[in-house]
Amino acid sequence: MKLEKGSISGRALIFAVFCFMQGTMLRSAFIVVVTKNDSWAMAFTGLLGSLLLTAIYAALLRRFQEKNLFEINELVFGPVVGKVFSVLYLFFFLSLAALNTHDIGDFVVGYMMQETPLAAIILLFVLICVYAVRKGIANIVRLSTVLCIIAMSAVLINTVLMLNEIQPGFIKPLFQLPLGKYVQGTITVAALPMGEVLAFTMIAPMLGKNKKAGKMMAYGLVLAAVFLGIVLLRDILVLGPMAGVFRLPSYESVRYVKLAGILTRMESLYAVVLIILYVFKVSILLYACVLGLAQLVNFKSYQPLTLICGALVFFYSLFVYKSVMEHADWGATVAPIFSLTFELVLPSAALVAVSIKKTIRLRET
Amino acid sequence: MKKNASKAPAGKTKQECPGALNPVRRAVAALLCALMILSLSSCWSRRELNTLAIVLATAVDEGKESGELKVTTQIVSPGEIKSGPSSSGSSASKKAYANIDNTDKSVISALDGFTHITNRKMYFSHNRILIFSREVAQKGILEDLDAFTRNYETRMNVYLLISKDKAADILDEEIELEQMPANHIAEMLEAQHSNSETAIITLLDFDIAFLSGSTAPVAPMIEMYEIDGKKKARLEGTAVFKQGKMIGELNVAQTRGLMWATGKAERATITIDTKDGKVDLLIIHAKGSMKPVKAEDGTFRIRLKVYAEGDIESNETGKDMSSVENTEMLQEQVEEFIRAEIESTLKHAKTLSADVFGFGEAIRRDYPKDWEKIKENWDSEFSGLKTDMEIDVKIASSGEMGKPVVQGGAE
Amino acid sequence: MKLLMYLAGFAAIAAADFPKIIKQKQRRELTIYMVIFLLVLALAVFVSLDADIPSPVKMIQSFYRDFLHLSFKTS
Repeated sequence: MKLEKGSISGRALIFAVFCFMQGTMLRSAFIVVVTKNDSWAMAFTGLLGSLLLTAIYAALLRRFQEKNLFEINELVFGPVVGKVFSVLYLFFFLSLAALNTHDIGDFVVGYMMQETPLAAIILLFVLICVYAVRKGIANIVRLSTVLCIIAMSAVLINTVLMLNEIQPGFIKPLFQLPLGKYVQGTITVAALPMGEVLAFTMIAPMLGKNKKAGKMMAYGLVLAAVFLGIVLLRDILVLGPMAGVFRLPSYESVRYVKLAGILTRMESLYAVVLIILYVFKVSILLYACVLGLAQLVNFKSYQPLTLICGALVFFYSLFVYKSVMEHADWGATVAPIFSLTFELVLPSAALVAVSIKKTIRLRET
Repeated sequence: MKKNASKAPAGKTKQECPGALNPVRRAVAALLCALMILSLSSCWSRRELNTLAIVLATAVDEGKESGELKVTTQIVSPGEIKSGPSSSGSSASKKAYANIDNTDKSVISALDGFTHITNRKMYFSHNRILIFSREVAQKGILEDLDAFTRNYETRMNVYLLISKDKAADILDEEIELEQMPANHIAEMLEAQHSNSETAIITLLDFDIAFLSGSTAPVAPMIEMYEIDGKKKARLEGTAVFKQGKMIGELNVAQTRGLMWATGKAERATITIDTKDGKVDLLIIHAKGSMKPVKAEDGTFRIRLKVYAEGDIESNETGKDMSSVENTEMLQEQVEEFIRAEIESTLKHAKTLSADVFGFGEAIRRDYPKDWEKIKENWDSEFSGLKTDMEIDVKIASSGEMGKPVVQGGAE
Repeated sequence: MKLLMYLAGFAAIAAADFPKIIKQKQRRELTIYMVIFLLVLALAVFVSLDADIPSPVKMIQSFYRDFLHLSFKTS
């Protein structure tokens, strides 16, 4: 059932995955608090973990060409159980969208416009994402190439500007924390920013037949991991032990740049890029929700549902968390496991079910 | 990225292709644009320039009652900033800044209390320096620093200073070169690289040093002096902190010793007393490194390496200092000089029991497991810590001259 | 005040989407859409009244942490 009429190229998918990750990566406090000055290594171990997840998604997508996640669920588990799984996935995407929207709303309100009520900022944000989804997600994904270049340049420029504030000694002592912290760090990085590539299983059908969606997603993840490593390394080398103290280490380290008295206040560049990346991310998550909802109730087109889904995300994000501290607590403790349930457990169940079905069919013939 | 061409093929009438030409759509689009422009003005959290008091410098003193703090802020009066320095004759012209103070129980309540006094809201993003008076520093400045680190508006690259007397007086410095003392002091701090006798400390540096648990944070000291009836400020010496309280001072030579050892010295002028007279040398580059070395019995020694490269700036001896033996003699004397400065700092730091160099951090980074064992007794360990110094000085040139100009030298 | 704004917003959503659905004369789609619309409207009413809506995410957090004992410790 093709609800989406657009199509995208493989390269756009790579950059879309990168842009999707980059937003969360610029808010890297969730990982620096755990592994402190070894956080840069978590970027790479997390990449390995997330490549495992991508392998599962790629296997599922390969067996069911041109079907998205929700359709795969129904085909594998049958209409009833499949719909149950779909409801669970839908809840996951909705929660992710609400959490991310609340996140960026908090950022704007907290750092720049303290008196504005959160609802006003989130309303504008959600309106943009709804508009993007209504006009066809293919457009936003095609835009990701340009967006990727902008984001990469911003990170690289900021890094170069901060080179003279770096104190190489901060990276030591290397790997002295207990092993459990590294495991926690790896799982957090693999589940939180990188595992959310699950949302792209909803977009993968747009690639067309016989295109390797899994490979594109993997490339995007590798690119994202490299940049995450760069950002983490830069923040650790500039801020030292303070990197684990700040809520937004990247923001504070960018603020520190003061070159020749002229190149100061670069954090505005950082803030703009962050907001654009979050628009991208929430648009894709919103698309996943809308498409999922449409499939759940067997609508022929998802268009009428965009506004109402957007409204749902809007209201959900208003009460999803009461304070930044609760959000940080959630991110540090339960979020990786919650995400892993949907990113690892459920797709693996689907894959296992498919394999069992296949072997049963082989035995019957 | 709408492709209108695909939606309105040629030959069809308006009713049959509802595209962008539809008047309802146009009205909606216009309304959206208007809404977006409205939101750009960000009425809700608007901050107009004339309602802001742009703070350039903040000074914290003790208040009259005990337990109270007096916070003085230097605010720009934008209308009074003139393009050139004001001549001394026009004493009737207003100053380009205003110092406003408020007293309350803590820094934050004093800052909030400003709203009772001024019509403008304090805007801290341009705050360049933060001065604490010696009495406040001796009581402990950590709680006050927390407010500045936590706030969104304040930046981490604000310079930290300790004043020997009253901090608020520093903000009243009368200088001809700049219009605002805050800018003058901030830029003076940035120019300290050329003498390497001052530790340039930002809030971030102080916080990092404090977080380490073994390093004693330092901050430069500033004092007022009078000359020709005008009050000016001078940077002299460094304050040493332990657990947030100021416990001692380093004088100028000891500060430079600290700079040599931690590799933060850049340019410096050294005067050598040779038996024939004085020679001044200008050190252009200096590099320093410290490496902990573990002896067989488990104790640590620190190997300090200092490399300095310089030129002869002035030769008052009358002898030809550019000859090879004299250059080598000078190099040795400079090495001795630097060694003496560092050792003086070391001795003083050991008396204060304050690890200003960061030796503890160096041990923690290279030998984390051993550090766990000795970090509880770091104070006593530090007093007994031995250092090996390797100082290498290279005199690269003697300026434009070779032989000096002396009476009868040409004959 | 907030309630009025939200209701106006929902009226706008209805105005934007209803005509299309009614034109397509799909009764089933219409009913499902109405159901979802009314559910979200109810949610909006609760939010505008500043009611203390239990966040599903928090319920999940206590579920994972206390029931399944599957959470990381905060250091």
